[in-house]
Amino acid sequence: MHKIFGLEKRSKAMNLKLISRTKKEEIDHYYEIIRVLVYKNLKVRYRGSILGAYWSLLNPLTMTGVYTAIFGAVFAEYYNNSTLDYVLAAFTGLIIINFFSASTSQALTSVVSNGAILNKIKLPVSAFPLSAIVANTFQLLLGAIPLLSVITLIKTKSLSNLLLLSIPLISLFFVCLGIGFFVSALYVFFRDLPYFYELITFIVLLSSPVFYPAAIVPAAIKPALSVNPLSLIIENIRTIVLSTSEPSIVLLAKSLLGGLMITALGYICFQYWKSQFMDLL
Amino acid sequence: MESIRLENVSLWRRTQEEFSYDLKKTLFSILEGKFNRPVKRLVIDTIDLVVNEGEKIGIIGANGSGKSTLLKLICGILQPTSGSIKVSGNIAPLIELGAGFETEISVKDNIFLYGIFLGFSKAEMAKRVSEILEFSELQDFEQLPLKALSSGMVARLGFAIATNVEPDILILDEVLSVGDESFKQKVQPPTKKLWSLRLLF
Repeated sequence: MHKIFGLEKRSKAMNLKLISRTKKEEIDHYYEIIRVLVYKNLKVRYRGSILGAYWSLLNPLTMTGVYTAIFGAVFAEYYNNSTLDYVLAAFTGLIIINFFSASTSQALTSVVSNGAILNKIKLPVSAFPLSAIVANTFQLLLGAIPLLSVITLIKTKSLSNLLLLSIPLISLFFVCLGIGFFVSALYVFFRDLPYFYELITFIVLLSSPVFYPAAIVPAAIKPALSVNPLSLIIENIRTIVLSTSEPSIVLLAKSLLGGLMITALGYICFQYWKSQFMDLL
Repeated sequence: MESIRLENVSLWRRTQEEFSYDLKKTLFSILEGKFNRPVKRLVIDTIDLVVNEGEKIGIIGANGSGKSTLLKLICGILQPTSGSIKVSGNIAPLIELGAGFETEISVKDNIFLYGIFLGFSKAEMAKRVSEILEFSELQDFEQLPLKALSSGMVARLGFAIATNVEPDILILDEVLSVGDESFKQKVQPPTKKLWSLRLLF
């Protein structure tokens, strides 16, 4: 570094008034950033058309059709011999898995793809993965959740189930948020991560009882699958939406707690690695 | 009054050559026992700098000598390895015009995006939008996506936003070379106007 610029003698005992931002202003700024990023994210995706959110239902609907055509007849016996029940079970599972894959994959690239702007303006880095998850949540709120609510009301005719539905969905949000923080930080260091992550999301899809009944999994392997936090969420949502049995408060609390723990862990990792980001972006 | 004070600021960074990190390579290098901690290089070596309100400072140096890095330290984007940095007043960095714009969304949305990134609220930006559009002469393009604009227009927009938000400290990093002659003429008065200080190079 050439010291060509005007170096000044240190002025003595000068009262430096620091106009630092207050905590509240910082939180307000963070909120504004999240809002504008979510808005940008949705706008880029839909170009102003609200119908875009319904487009996202195309994938789970198509896949449900395919799974039903292939497995529907074989697995119907696990679903009260009703193909309709199989359809609904597969559909609810697919919505959850799709949300997980889409939101965390977008969060994964969020920090790196905004590297240019992070190099110009000081911004709270965590706002980028968070806004990716929130934008996907909006999409879910517009597209899939109304549909799930209607199915719940038709199947169970109970308003309390409709309210309970929010708990596994909130758990899902937190699971995705935590994993989003974690993978977006990792991606800064390992740029071939998307390749591995695709594999991981595929394993998550297969290991969650989405298109097959949980009952067919061999007992020896079951504990390994219960590690998957999405299995519990899918089971919870099915009991609530399809009323396969009484919703269990213990299981609901367990999924919520698990989601919160994953968010906490992901955020801790993110904050711990954050100081090294700028050298690699 | 002092606006910026740097005391004994040093910064170690990872070297550029090692940017190509990936998981596969890292795993293999661990398996082969060749894994090394990333090498760091001293890029800024104990700098003291005091800038008072109203001063305009230019920093010159060879390519890669750390000019932009120094500005990033002042902006708070990078944290110094040792030493302290005190900045009073809000900073509008204009390091390379146009960074932070999203080409797919409209000019107006980009004004909001950039303004909020710079620390303003949506309500404040709503008041400033028309002024910014007027200064950059882009009123007719308000609803067009940014990718429809020429690079000179984008540069004008970036400049209009950064000057409109009236920062206490304006940081320019080789940015005024853009824009056509008539816009350069127009830029003169506001750059001379109310800024208490600017760092420019």
